[in-house]
Amino acid sequence: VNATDEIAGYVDAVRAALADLPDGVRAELTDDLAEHLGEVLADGDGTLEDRLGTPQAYAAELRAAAGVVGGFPDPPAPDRWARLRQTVRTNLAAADVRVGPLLGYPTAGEFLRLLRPAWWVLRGYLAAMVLAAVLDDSGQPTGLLPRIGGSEAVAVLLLAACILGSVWLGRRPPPRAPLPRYALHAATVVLILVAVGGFANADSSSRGSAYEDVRYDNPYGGIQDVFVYDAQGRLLTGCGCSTRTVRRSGSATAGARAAGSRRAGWTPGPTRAARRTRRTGSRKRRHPRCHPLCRLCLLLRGYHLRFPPLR
Amino acid sequence: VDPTQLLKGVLDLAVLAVLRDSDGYGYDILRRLRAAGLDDVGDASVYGTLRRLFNAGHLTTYVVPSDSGPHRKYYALNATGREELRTSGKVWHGFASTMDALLRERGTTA
Repeated sequence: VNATDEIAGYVDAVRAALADLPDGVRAELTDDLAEHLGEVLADGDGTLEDRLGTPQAYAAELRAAAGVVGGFPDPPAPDRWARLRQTVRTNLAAADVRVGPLLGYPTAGEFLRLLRPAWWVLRGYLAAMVLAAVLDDSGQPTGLLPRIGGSEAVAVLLLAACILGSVWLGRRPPPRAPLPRYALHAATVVLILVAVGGFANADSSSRGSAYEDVRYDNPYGGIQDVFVYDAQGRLLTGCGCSTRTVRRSGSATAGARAAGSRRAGWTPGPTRAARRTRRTGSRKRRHPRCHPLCRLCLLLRGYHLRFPPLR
Repeated sequence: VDPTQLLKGVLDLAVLAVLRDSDGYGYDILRRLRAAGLDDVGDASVYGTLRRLFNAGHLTTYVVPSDSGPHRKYYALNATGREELRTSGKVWHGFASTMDALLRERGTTA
């Protein structure tokens, strides 16, 4: 190994051991190290490592002598999540400023901060609902109030307590310690999920209730010609539960003839009625308010099927 | 007491002191320090100290060609270096005499 190579190798190793220092500082420490090592080599016998120790030890001593603080682990590089978080935060801030004026406030955040007490109340209600769901083992549906065992008084008490608690919690400064902070965030997420689920539930049940009891698959669906008679045995022609037409001079026979159109069924509809009007030329009568789901008609139908009128 | 720890604090002063009478290059200064009794001083310490003192403006350098071997970079005290040596020397004397007095009072002098 010639002297130049030995020096270059030693200097490279020292530089590598100082790699954590800023480039400028490292250059300042090692720029004329090669010349210095050349002097050292020229002034005595033995290799550099024999006389000066390992390059790593030399670097450590140099670092100390030069008064350079170093050797600390690098600060963690911003990872992908941190960058993503930063991007999201920047975009949110931009949206905050852009949406604000639409609401009449400098920022959307300022407007939302006004809604905080409303959130506290809602949070109290949701917490009460969750508590009621946990504590209630009566098996009855709770409805929209936090009933426990179906009791409204308990529901109102629980609701008031939870709302007061939530408002009290909201007026306190947010917790600083990580554990309570994360617990609060987690609870908020749970409550929001409960709120979304509860809303979807209430929405679907309020939409479905009007039709819930209607039986489209009624057991008499296959029966077509059914005549409705009153208590005196007269054929009822006024009940327009079908588009069946009956002559005005109606009697049992007239009804029977009219019923000859077998496919009349129970289907109402102005088109069909109008068509038949054209065909028969007779006066038609139809119950003005009859609806396909007319409960009365269904009842009467069932009644007369079970108890046929006397002829 | 670890001598290398003590040395850290006074190496500047030691280097300035050995340069007071005559200029020197890196390895030469190390030899002078060792000859003066500072056996523990390392080459990297001296080299690093020279770099720092030079950057602080206490030293000037000049290169002397050599017939047998590489050029040598000589370091010399300038005016601020001499001033630094004077004030630092005072501080050291004050500190050393305080320590001496302290140790004498407690009767721990060897």
